[in-house]
Amino acid sequence: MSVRLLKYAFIEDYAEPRWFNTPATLGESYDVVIIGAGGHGLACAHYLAHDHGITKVAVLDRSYLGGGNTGRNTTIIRSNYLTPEGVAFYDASLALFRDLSDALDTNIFYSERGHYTLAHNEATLRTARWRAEVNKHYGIDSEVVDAEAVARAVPGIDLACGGNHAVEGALYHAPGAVARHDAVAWGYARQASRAGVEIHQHTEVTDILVESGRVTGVVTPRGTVRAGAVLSAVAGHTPSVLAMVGLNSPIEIFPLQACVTEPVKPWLDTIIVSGSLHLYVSQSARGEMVMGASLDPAELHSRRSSFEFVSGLADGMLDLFPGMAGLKVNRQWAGMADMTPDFAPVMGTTPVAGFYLDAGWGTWGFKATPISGKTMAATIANGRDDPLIRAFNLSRFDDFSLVGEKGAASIGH
Amino acid sequence: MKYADFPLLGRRPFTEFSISGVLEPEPAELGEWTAARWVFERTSVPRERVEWWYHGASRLWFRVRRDTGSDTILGIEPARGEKRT
Amino acid sequence: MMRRLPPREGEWIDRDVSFSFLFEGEPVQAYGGDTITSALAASGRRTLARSFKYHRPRGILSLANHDANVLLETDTATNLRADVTAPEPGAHYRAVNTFGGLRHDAGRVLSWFAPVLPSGFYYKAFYRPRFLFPWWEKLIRHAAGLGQVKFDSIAPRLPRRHAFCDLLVVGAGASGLAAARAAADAGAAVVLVDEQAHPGGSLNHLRAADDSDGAWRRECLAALAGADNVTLVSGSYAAAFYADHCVPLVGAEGITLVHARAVVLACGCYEQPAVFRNNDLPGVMQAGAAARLLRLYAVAPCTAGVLLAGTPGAYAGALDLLGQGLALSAIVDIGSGAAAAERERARAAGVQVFEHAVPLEALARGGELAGLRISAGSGRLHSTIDCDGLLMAVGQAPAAGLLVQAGGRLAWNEALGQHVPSALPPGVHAAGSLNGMQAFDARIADGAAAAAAALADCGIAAAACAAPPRAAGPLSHAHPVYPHARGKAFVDFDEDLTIDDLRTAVREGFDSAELMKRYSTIGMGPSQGKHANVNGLRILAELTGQEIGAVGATTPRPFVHPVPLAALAGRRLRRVWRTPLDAWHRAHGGVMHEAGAWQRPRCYGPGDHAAAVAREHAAVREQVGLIDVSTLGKIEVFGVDAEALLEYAYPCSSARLVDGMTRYVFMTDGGGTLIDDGVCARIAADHFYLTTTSSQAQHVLRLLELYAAELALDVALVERTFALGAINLAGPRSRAVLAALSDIDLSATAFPYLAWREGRVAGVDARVMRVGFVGELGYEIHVPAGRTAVVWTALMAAGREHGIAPFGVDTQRLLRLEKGHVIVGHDTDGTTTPFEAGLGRAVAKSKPRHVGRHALAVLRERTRRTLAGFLTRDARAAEIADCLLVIEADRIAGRVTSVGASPSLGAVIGLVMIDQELARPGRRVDIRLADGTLVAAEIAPTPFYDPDNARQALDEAGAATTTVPGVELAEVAEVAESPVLGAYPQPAFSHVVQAGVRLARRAGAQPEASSWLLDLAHLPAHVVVGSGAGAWLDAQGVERPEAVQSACVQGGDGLVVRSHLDEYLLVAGSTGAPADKAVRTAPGRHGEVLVMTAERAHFALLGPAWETILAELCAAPLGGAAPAWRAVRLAHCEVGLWRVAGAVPHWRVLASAADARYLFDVLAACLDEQGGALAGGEELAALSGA
Repeated sequence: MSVRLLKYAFIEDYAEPRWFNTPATLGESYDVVIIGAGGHGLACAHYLAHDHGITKVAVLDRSYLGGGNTGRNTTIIRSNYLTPEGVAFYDASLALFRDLSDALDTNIFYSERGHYTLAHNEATLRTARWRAEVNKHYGIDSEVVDAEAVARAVPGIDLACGGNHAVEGALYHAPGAVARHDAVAWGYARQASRAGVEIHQHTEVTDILVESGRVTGVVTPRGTVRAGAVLSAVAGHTPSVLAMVGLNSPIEIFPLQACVTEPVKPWLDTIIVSGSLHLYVSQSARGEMVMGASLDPAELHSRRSSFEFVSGLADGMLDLFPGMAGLKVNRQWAGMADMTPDFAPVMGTTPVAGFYLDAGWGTWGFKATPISGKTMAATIANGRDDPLIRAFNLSRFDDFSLVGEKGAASIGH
Repeated sequence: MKYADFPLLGRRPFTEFSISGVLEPEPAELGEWTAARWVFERTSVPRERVEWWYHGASRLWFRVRRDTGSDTILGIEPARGEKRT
Repeated sequence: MMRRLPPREGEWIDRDVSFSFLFEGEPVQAYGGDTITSALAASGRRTLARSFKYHRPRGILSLANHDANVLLETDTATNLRADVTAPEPGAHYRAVNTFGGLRHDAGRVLSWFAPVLPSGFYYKAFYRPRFLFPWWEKLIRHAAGLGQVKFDSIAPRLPRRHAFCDLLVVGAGASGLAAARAAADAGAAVVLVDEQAHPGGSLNHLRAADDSDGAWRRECLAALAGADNVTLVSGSYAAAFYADHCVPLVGAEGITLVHARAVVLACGCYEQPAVFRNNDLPGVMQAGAAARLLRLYAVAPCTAGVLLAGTPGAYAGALDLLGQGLALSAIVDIGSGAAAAERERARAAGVQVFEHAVPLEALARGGELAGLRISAGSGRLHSTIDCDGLLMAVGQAPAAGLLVQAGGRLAWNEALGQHVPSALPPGVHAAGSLNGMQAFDARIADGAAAAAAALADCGIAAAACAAPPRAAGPLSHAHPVYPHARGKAFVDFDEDLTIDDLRTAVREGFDSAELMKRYSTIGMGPSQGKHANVNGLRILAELTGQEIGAVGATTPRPFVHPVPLAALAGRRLRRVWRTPLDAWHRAHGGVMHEAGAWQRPRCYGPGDHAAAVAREHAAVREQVGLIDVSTLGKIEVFGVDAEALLEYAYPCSSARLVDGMTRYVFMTDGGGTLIDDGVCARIAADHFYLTTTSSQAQHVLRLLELYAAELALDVALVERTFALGAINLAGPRSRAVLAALSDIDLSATAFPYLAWREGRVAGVDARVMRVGFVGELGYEIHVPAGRTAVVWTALMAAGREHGIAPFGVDTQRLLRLEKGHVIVGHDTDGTTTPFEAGLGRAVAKSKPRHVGRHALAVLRERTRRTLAGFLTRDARAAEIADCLLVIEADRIAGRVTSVGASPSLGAVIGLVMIDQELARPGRRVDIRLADGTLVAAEIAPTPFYDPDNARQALDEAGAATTTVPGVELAEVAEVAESPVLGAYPQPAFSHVVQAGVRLARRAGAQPEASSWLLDLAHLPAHVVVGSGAGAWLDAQGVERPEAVQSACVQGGDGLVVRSHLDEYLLVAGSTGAPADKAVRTAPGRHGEVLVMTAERAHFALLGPAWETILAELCAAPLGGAAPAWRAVRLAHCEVGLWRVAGAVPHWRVLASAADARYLFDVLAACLDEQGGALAGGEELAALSGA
């Protein structure tokens, strides 16, 4: 039992200091203004302060801290990607995640569970082998396992899937993990706050000032702020922010829904993703089954839920886990996934000097939170793209030099 | 589940359609556009736009004006009007 | 039955039905109509469960599923909501999440650690040292979670049906009943739903003394029962409010998805608890819970009760319950605002009244309520009242989850002390206590007013009536929150959250409604904050010095109550496509496997896979083999702009293609990525025939229809993927076998390589193409689906002397690999361009305009990798598999896309997507096996086998038309097979032949029934297509409809549908003469008559059962007078659905041949559940009463 908890017992009316400050007034100018107080924006603020000593930073959010996709994803963390650029990037994120509880002095409940991407036909099994071979080449713990290995590791699974599209094998990624998403955002917010970074919730950026090709500041209902650099880390709202600086991108916004069941005693200790049925499930520390499926079929800028999502998910899930039929879905919600044509992020410098982009996070944003913060901080501090994210620059689309993640066709989770 | 009144088909659930975005036939010349902008550029902000919806059961395309912020349908017309004679 | 009271009017229990069940191992008596909780209360038990975190004893709070105190499990089910679940005789119920049973739950030790388990404790501990965290995590995971998943008892899936109505009324309380009554009188189609077992809402358990409201309720229910335009659904809850007024009603037998033109939300309110120390002791409950026990289940809630009065109505409610047998000794008035007369009336009834009181703490004995310490009067005198029941009547919160999900908004009403609706989206109206109404006649008038407004939205005239004003006085106590120095004042009973926990959260920076919720988890438990959220906001407002209205609120999301996955999943429907030869393959050792939705044979037994492939490979190389390729996409393109469409859609040019010839074509998307390939045959200048890959058939058709519409081209596309079967006959002897069965001139000059010819094969009209996919002399024979089996069996017979053998997909893959043919989707992936797949030369540079032209122009210059052949005789070559990597200087330089042991070359060969500089023939490359060792291979030019197509050359000596003696041209079998039966008689079906077609009819006698399913594949069907089609039909004197997708009746139950601009579908009536006479005439300039008889599934659905079944399988509304033709999605299949007028309800379904068996089985299964039966086609007239 940690000392921090004992204080609550023995010190009268004890409470820890505020995890993040909310200054009454908005400053005149900052070295860096970060738009979006989600996991990525707060991580970047943290690393700007801790790696580069830049603390005159303001993180602005139109709503409450961590209320965007950071608070709406299903918290899966993995690095068994398909391309060399993807593997290197996400594996660096995994390394940071492992030490994050210590680094942030906050238990983010980083729980390595093992991640199975199930293959229900030959085509997805071939893709699994492709990813396994690329992963092994880069030292990522990832291998193709047969259906029996899946049955041993996953109680209650029906390999026959009710008689159609049986499970034929899986890509097994032992380091696959889950974590408490809110704790990651709050942990970074606390460390950044302690280092002097200002976090302003309910402060919407309504315009970005650009003079002769260089960003000079942002406009908010609480006043205009001068800034040496501006970072956009707003995921689902990226196109609207890009429009403020006159930039275009291939990003398209689709709702991505998820749901949880009532909490039950622990029975599923791994993370299950089915490439063919387009659904995934893991069990949270509280005991809820956290489930999701593929994107909504049409572009939409809304977080409304739909019946098709939850009934389609249930239809497929009961083929995999018939025993879950009696479990009840307690709540469903949605985030706004900013998708890109090659299923890779759009990061780093942009044609507008001083304006930096951390976007294109589709269904793979949470797992990149630490490394995206670190690399964006280095990029802003040095004024040029960090080597790890050079391949993800917006300019790649100009000459068709796409990242090859889409080779695997179906979107991973 | 959302429904709309479709010309030729009557009241139908959206689930009978596969919804594509804003589609333009590929022009012979791009003018000042580059190939990359033509292939990749999107304007994914909440707005009214005309999309192409395909009804699999009747093999008919429809042009649907939709607000991508509120998801409301503002107008529908069959894509195959009178033939070019 | 210690606490059971004598019978009373309106009780829900049936005293004639008595049974028992076990709770925690001890027997409990129950009546019919009891819930598990009411029966337990009747037995005198008060401790019914343990709380989630501290394992404190818990009992009844709301008895209305507004809390999750009493969650039980049995051996077969978990997380049962005991408040609203009927007990099953003999069932064994036990509390969830206890360690060692309810009474001696070891988990209660956790409450000792409460001081060190503040809100958010798990963020502040257990992460140092890191190696210990997994141990802590296991402990926390086992402490968390409520019930256990029951893996060995699978809850059955429940059907999900669609319903359409004018007005949906949610909640059958006073205002809901009034709304439904007003709408019913106006003639609207009304659905009224209530989650309780009986309608009436609070009218059932909160009654006026003179029973005036009871009388009104009974009269109203009788009127509604008599109205046939009203559907009353009890025991089902409106679980969510989705876009366009889509509301799922969840009941024990499944979900009804209601689509309403307008909705009245009369959901009522959730009674709220007071917050004071030990307010969670068993015995402390909502006053409403006590009223339900007394009125509905005739159970005395306690022997010595105290009422905590915080609202003006508390006194009247209490006195009513006295009359029902409530043992009430005292009323503690914490500022009810009630008139003095109310207090006097209570005192007159022998009830002690404490005024200006404050509850200090509830006292426990044996873990249950034993007394209440209060301070009362102006002198703040402390006193203790002994009691075993403490009823809280301190206020309510609107059940506004659906309203907010619908897009409505709430605003805090200070006078009422409750949120009320402040903005409502179109078509959504609120009524009753949810809308701030309190008096009975105000709720009635509000219901009627809401109905009138809602009907106006539907354009239905209804007697307009003004909405009454909201209640004047407060309906809830302003701040029923009483912190205690030693804590344990519970705000959220689900999550065991006290006032101290919320204070910690707010002081540590989580000081907004959303952040306080996520950090403390208030409102995140199984009842989603129904009894906690408002008190939480009151505490947050107080701690942050704000008004409650300014604090905001968290967002209510689906579901209002949790919904079982079994109900959400609905019936299990897995669409399966079968080729016309499916049954033959299964009967002859075909090793079937799933290829997308299709079922296809890999190879044919007996023997193991490798032996079978080797045997089939040899047959094709040396004699002759045949493979079923019916899964190929097949599209006919008619019209003057046919060629223009193909030139735009495909990057390769078809301009130089002449009549009678075919060419290989491939398609890319706008970004230049390969998406499909196939063959294009030029039938005439205005008629092309296309094949596509099996997996992309629907996608290519969709794109061609898109391009035709975008460019407004004069072209008509007809999909024949399912209407035509296709057989690939390949091998040196293939011509000899075909010659024995066909009148086509097969000589080299008459039928050169890559040509196509039409003629008869085994007496069946066929279109034959010479293709070389597997690298041998070969003919791809396309014939109508219903006669594919005839041709196949004839070829097998004629080929027996030539050593013919069927071969499967795996053998085909090996044969084509030896020819170096690329398979799009297998050798190519989501990023491959034609330049990387060896197709660069065929991308027409000259064409001014086609899809992908601009991208391909850029990609042509940026190609850095390519598909190349490789060959190796290394000892471990057999271990090379698809997707292994080519390693060059420890760098990934390529990937194997295909590999196989080639009998023709005596080596392992394959294709590899590799960096261009390595793709030089003879270059050595290393392939890394799964275990890391490198295997050497050599880049080799493709094709490996017969590079210059010598195998396609025909020796002129072998004249084409000689008929091999002894094998007569097989006559046409008179009988075609219904697509349901596929190619082979099946034991499950007895066979009735009607008009030359063998129909599916289930073997054995059918039960007596009023609804039937008939296979009508024998009825003639034709498609007339082309710009001249309309004129041709007029010439035939056939009446035709004007608008696309409209239909008119032809000859009794026949139909003419204008399915497309230039396409008409004719289904001859069962009574009319078959219209075969119109075979193959060419109407007008462009057009064709295609015989469809037995090429499509055609079912008749007779009887009343089908309305319910179709409401489940089809989401489209199916109203309208016959014929009401619709192209819809039915059980995932694209079908034509129409109605035949007549005495008996009579539907017709027209579906593809590939869907036939799957759809027949689904319809038959649904019919069996409704007690219907299957009949033969011949009984149509008798059964339909035509």
